[in-house]
Amino acid sequence: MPTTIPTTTSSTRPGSPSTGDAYFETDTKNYIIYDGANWRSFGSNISNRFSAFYDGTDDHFTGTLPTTLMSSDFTTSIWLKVPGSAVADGAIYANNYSASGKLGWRLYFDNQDASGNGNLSLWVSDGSGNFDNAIANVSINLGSNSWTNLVWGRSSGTHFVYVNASQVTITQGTQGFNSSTSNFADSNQAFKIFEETIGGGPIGGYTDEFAVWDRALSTSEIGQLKKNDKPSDLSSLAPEVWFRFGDANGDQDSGGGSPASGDTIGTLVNLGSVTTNATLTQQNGVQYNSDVPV
Amino acid sequence: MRNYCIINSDEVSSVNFDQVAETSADTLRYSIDGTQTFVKYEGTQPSFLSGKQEYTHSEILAILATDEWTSDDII
Repeated sequence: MPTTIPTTTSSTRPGSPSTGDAYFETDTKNYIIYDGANWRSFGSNISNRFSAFYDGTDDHFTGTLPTTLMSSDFTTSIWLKVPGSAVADGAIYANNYSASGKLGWRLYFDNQDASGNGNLSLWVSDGSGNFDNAIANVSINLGSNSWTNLVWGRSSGTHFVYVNASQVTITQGTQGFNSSTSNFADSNQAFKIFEETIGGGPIGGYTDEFAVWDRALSTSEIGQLKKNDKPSDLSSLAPEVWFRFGDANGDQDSGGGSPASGDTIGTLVNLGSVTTNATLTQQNGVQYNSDVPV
Repeated sequence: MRNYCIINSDEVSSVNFDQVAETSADTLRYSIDGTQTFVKYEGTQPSFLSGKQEYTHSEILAILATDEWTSDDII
């Protein structure tokens, strides 16, 4: 006979619990038990069977983000696994970068720095030949062939980067103009993941759990993006965009079937709150893969 | 296992995109001088590529890393 556990939420936990009291938190999906002094949380990671695999030759995603997203404060999160060999340096994200008459941006990964670590830069273009290196060559050790949660965002005109929930100190490079408050929202986007046109070519590797918020997440919230070094269920953080690369209900392979490792990716469902203009379309053979963040 | 073939740009019109992983002519990656591109496929070589040299994944990555395919311009 099943037992139904009483429910609560993380913000409405009982104020005077007794030792052994147990609840199911409907927002965090955790099972919590009071030990007499503290609440102890027991949760499982969200089911995660697939990631997206790029062979590093020409495959990438094109798509769009909601047109009002990233106008001022925003946060992006993605899980990456990038081998350090046999891959070019390239863009993780790009949108209208260097396009004439458009404000564009590109979050760029360089795996060929002198120390052998993967560095990160953000370049912003103003559409008339000026560029702003808003994040300059920050060493974050991408290219280590390990799954990494990378968070990039902007809060009140200041960019921030977190790697596996730890904030990284960033510096600015050459500033042909100041993009600190530039409006990244666009009604005619050309968003890409693993853009293929950057000088060294596209990155090869894996991505998983791509999400965007139209606000700056707090350090505490960024800490909730991972649990036990694995991706968390992002539902309680209410992202506007959330693609799971094979693990959302409705994700399909290119033939319209259920995802399986090695299948070319077809339909991807946005689990975020914005239902229009949030799309990702694989180009040139991005595949599902069973290598997922562990 | 995927195989890769380099073709001349003027041969793109003969590519059957139902038989390769590339989406369309618009998504192909070209050499720096624009004279060559490549396609990839699973298993047997499509007939329209007959006679073209096949490359493995590691072989094509090495080719794409050369100056013919890769620019130093990263900005």
